[in-house]
Amino acid sequence: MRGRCVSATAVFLLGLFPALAQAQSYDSCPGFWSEGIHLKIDCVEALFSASPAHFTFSSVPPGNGFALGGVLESKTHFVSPSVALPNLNLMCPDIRNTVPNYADATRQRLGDHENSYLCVEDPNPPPKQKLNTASVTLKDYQVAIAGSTNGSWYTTGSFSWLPLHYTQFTKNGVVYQKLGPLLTHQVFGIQFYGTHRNVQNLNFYGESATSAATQYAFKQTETYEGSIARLPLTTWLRAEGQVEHRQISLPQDTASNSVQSNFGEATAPGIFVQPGFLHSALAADTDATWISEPANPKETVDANPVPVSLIKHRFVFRAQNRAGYEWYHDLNTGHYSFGQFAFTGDESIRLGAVFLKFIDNKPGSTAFPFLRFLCGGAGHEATVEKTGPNGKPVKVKEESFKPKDVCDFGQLDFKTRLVFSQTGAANVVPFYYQPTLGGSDIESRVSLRGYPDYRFRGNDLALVQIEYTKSIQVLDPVGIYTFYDGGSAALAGQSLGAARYRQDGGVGATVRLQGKIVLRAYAAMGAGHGVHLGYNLEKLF
Amino acid sequence: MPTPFRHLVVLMLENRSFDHMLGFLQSPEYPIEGLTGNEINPSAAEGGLPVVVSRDAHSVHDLNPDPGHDFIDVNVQIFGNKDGIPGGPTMQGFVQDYALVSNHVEQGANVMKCFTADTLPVLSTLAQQYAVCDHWYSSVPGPTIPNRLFAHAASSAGSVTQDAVAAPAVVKTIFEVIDDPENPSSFRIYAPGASILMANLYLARHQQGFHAYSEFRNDCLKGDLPEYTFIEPSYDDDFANGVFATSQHPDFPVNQGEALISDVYNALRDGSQWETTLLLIVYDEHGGIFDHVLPPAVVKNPAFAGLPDPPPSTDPPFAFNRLGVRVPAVFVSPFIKAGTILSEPFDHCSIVATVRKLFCLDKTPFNWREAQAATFENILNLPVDQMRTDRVVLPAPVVADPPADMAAAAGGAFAIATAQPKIPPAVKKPTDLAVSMARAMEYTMSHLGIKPAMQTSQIYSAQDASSFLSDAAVALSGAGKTAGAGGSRG
Repeated sequence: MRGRCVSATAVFLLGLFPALAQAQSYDSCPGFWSEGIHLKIDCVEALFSASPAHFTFSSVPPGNGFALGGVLESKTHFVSPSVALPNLNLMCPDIRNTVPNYADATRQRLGDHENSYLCVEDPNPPPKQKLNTASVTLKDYQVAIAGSTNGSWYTTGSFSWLPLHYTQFTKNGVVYQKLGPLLTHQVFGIQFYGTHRNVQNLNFYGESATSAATQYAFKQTETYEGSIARLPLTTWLRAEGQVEHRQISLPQDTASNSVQSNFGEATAPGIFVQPGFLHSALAADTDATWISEPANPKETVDANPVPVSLIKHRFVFRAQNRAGYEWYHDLNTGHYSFGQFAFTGDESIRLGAVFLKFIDNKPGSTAFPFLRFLCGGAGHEATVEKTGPNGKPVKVKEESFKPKDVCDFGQLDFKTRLVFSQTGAANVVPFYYQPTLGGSDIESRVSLRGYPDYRFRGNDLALVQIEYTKSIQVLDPVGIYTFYDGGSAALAGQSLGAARYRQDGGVGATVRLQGKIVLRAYAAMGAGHGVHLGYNLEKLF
Repeated sequence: MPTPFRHLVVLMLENRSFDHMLGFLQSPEYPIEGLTGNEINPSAAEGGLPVVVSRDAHSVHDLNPDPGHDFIDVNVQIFGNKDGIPGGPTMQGFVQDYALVSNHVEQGANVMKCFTADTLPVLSTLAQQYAVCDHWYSSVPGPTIPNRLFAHAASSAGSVTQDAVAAPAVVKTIFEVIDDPENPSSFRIYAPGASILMANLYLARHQQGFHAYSEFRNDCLKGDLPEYTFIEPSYDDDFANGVFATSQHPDFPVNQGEALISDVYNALRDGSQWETTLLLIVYDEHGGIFDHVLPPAVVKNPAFAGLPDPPPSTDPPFAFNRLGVRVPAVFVSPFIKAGTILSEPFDHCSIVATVRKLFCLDKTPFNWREAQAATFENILNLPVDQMRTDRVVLPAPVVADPPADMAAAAGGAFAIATAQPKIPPAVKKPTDLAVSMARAMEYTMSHLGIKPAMQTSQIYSAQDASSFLSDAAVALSGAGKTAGAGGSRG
């Protein structure tokens, strides 16, 4: 279920953050020292995900060490906007006292529950008590602060508002949220946020994909506040609009390797003057899923039924794409105003299989150990008491896979990212807003892993990545992955062609928290300078 | 007869007695233990004529307010007294009890109204085209929650009332037994909304078995049904959101439940597991509606002396040694002859006992009630080579409307108050069952450390109850730790 859900339940995710799917609770922590490794991991996960307060890490830009901090949040994604607020304009006397002739049968039907009375609308409601009949929900607030080992720090806060009143609508047994003609699973929401971050070290190698490999550094403080509105149009398509104010400043740095000491306005636009920006954006997001799983063979009561195979395939195709246009309006000088078209795509195939028969780990079995390695997370184990060879009871661990257990063979991702910047004749894109390739960028998006962070900058960017990721259940939450990266960055007037194309490939390990990859460590090759070791922490805020 | 069925699907509806639904199918050619048309109950009016069973039950409005079906009410209905002391006429207290509950002498007679094949076409057709049980009793002479718990656990943890807050949480259900890691069988619970099973602590922690009812048909077509499937109806209306109650609990429309029965049957019939599936359509209790058959007592067989007793109820005192009133029960399978009548006594413990016998490694019954319950693994009466290939085409459900004046009277009851201030249409109150389910969910959530967005004491309307149950289900699903398909963690 997801079931389910189960059910005609309403789960409303505003896509607020790339946040953890489900929080653990601290239930597993009391027995931390006495319990097995998995409960220890559960406890650690709870420390970084339990509501309302938990630790957090990452979310400072790469190159600034490891950040640790705290989060205070209230995530009530399950709040139903279909619940109308209590109408404060109603007077609710006890009907039995005010209407003595009221039919006893009706009183009986009302039952003896607390507050079992009828409400009468107040004909003269106090104006201040009038409420919008739409659902007004201020939920999903979040406040976080963290600091890193090199003195970088950030703080952020946000909350959401669900201003529109949806009704639940059931069609073909599926429950949707209905707003006019729109049938969706998510609802319209507006997120308000504010963030300040102080970054002590960002690297710069000059502009373009042909810049020299000499590393320079700069500091940056940034404050941005604004709002994002997300309107689901269908179950797989969402429109998004954003307005925010951004203010960056680059503190003076006189170090010999500082950008300010080695570059000028021509080679690092915006190095000396940082205006405020009004940033607005319009985008469309898709998130469509399709499952390919054949039907089971028809069951018959034949004397000699067709043997059923052990497994059948189950592939989950998912297309997550975002296309949008962003405007950066220089509020002070006008010189640094620019526009950007950005596209990101992640087409994935989750490879899996479903068990059709029961199989257990009989002594001498060669298939079961292989299945355990491949899909151990789907199996079952139990410790049972049996009679040993000496007649005494012994505890034996028994393992099995049952029909309908799903075996995860890993996930193949095809990722793309395109950025095209547009400026007027007299405008330039400030270097700190140029997209980068190499390692991870300022938003912790991983790109060319064979290169250092921020290695290549340009107004335009193209990136393709292919990844295969596999969880290794016996090592849970650690998994493995292999990847290929290829991309190029170009300045205005340059092409994203072969001359600027860089590529690499490699292998790595992942760490999941609550099912989401939060850390990737890797060894990448192909950049022409040996094996490059690196890691990427997922940006959580 | 060997058992060719490998999948059992149970659909349990609400609060209708056997005679009320199927009694008038009786005929010389179809000799079920049904109605001759001469069955009576004394009138509630002093000196009034006895009320005779009639064939004019309507889809709605007959049973508004809800007839009493608590333990005390059922004692009155069966024995004529609140203490359940035998000695007087039996099965003669239905009209009087309902007259007291509804506070209307005339209303009391409505519990004697029954359906016919014309006004209840779907269930009637399946009963006549496959197998009907004319001695399936509810396990408890009481309300829904204890009876449903008996259908899942052969026990209600000592509760005989609807206020069983802790009982749903603590009972060990047959689902937990199936879920043994070494057991190759599995289960699913299809629910369109809330289910009392979500309040069970084990199931709340292992939620992989819960599925939305909207997935049922597709799972049938894919041949993806587990060995044991339990289907919940929807327990309440939510008209604004296009949701109709399908439980048939009075006073929800009977035709909506007929549509659900039809939907389940057609999904199975169209699926690739039809030949190996047995469908059981049964009701949890009689709902305070007339039935003429005295429920038997159950006495512990000395052969099961070593098995525990189901925990007794202390308030009111009851040792679960007496069955509840008969309910409709229909079996459907291509290996059942048309017109089959099963007269062996079954009760809801029979479901637990049969599932354990067929699908569980652990063969130890929960208690002697389960051990003594008749099982139905051998009811199929067609050999393998004579499997039916016909498709029973079900008629459309019928909305048996009440007369116009009666409908107006029912609606008028809410508009009857003429005293000032003017009263608008009533805020729809939650059903007893919805509130009971909410309290049980709240109890379980407190044990799992989950704080609900709203407390049950704040439930005011049916919408509140529906929202609470929906939110609780999601909150519990967020807390569920999968120990099955999602992986085991020692």
